[in-house]
Amino acid sequence: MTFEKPSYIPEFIGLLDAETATEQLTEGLLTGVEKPRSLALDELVQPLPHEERFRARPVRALLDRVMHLCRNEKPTAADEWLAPRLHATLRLTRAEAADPELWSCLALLVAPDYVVWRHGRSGKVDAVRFQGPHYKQAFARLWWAAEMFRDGDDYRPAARICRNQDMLNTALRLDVVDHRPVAQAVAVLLERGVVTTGREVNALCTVVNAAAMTLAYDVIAPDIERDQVAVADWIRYEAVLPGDLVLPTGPAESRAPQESVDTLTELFADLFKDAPVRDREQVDEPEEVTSR
Amino acid sequence: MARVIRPYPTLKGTVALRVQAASVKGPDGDWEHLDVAASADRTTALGSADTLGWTTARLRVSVTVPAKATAAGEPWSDVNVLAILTEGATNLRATVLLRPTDDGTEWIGDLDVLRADVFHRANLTVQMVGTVGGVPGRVLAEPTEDWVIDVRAARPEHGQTFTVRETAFSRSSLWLRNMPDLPWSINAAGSRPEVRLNTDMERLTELLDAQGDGPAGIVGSLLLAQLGEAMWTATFHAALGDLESDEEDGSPLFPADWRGEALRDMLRTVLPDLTPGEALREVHRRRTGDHGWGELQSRIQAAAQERAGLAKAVREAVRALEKLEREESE
Repeated sequence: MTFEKPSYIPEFIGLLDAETATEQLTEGLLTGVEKPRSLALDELVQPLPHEERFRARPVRALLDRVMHLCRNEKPTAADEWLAPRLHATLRLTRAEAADPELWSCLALLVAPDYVVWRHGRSGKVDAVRFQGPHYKQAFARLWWAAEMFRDGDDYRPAARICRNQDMLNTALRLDVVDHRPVAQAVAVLLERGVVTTGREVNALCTVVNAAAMTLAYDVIAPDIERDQVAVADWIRYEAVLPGDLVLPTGPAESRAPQESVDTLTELFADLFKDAPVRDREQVDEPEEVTSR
Repeated sequence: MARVIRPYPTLKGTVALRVQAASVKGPDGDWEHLDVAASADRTTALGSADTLGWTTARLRVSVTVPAKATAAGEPWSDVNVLAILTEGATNLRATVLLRPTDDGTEWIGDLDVLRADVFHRANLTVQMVGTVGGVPGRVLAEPTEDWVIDVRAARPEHGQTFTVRETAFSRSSLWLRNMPDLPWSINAAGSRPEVRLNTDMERLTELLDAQGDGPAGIVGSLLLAQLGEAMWTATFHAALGDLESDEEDGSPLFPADWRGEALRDMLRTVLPDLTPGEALREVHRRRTGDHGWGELQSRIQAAAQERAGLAKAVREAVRALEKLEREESE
């Protein structure tokens, strides 16, 4: 199923309330038969301040680009490229990014065709890709993945997380990754290939989450305070992205303390060694059988 | 709060948490101290600040712990008390280590949080942490009740806040356009609880804004309480219909946003004998199961009335009406 680019795209991104958004998410729209009624909808958008950073065009250009770059690949491949660039283009405070109405506006008015292209492979888009929690909505999940897994100005850990759909879908839901060294340690384990498959990723996330009930990661692996000025400056400046092959640079915040990341990487690797991973045990068992 | 089984000795007794003082920093760098003496219902409302565009809030957190926490001869050492502010919507996690006062039973510290990091309501909790059996960073105790930091509300009314937006229904969203005679419409599915008032209905907004003991004030406060009841009933159903479940055991989870807070609060009235987690499982079971859901409706209604302050509104309306009648007969 495909969708044409909307004939009308608003100049600025605004807020589209939940009730109006829900009304749009008809069977026809989700199966790609109908298009959103952009012009009628635009009247109902609650405007944000007309700041440059809320302009729709740069985001739209980014989405056109990624659909072109990934035209011969699975659409899931787009996430790794898009997440850091969306974050660097649409510069928001966390409070702004927490508003589902902003993401609904983006999905229904600026790029419904992208949502269908990326999430409509089965013939029908799940409504939560248009309007849903931050770990499911088509754009919120990418923006938040970049926000939670970037290391200061370095987007590489975030891109790494987005390369693995299991990790992206699981880790973003966990409260423990709100502590930056936890997020970075998980990204390191992914990079080192300690976890790869969906089952391994799920097992790792489960033990990391469970251990947080008894271990205070904030105390054994402290983070430093957020740098308010660096983030505020970053938001104020207009985004200029490098070429397609180079990752943009994030806000000039300090990186997570290396010692804390190391401590947690080691701890998580240990926890994972003892974690039950479905099918992992079976790999060892045949050896025992032959030795008997 | 879910009860956690910990495979090591933990501290028994009450850990109590409160916000002793709060101040906000304006864009010019000046601090404004807020009056938090009236922190009813374990909520600190930062929306009462006069400073426009404040950027940072500082919360003076005070925690009392049992004397055993720092007594000699206990199985733990290196005790620390950590204050933790979180919000699901912004994935916020701000922490600060507290300092013990002389006898070690009270711990105090200042937790700073950026306005840009909070969407609406953040949850403040603490963890007492120590080394047990050679393992550092063990969680030894948590408070029985957390605290809420609301960056929008001006008054600390736990859970009673919803936004009222004025709209002409004749020029509103597609559905409302077909219902131009509705006085209001409730939205319990959005990012914040919201009531839309139909400005096509003459004097309605005026009535709701009216205060005092006059006829308009009486009608207005009754309408407002009725709105609240409808809002919280709708919220309860909307939240319950949309629960996420735990990936491990499939048990339902409280939503991370304002709906979760409303559910927790109302479940205390709906099923007062159960813990929040048990109560959520029970109502979820009844809603999705064969029976027991209908029987729960009157309790849900009661919880919504309580949260909306309907009884108080009716009492006050009756009193005001009697006063009016007395004045007329004199």
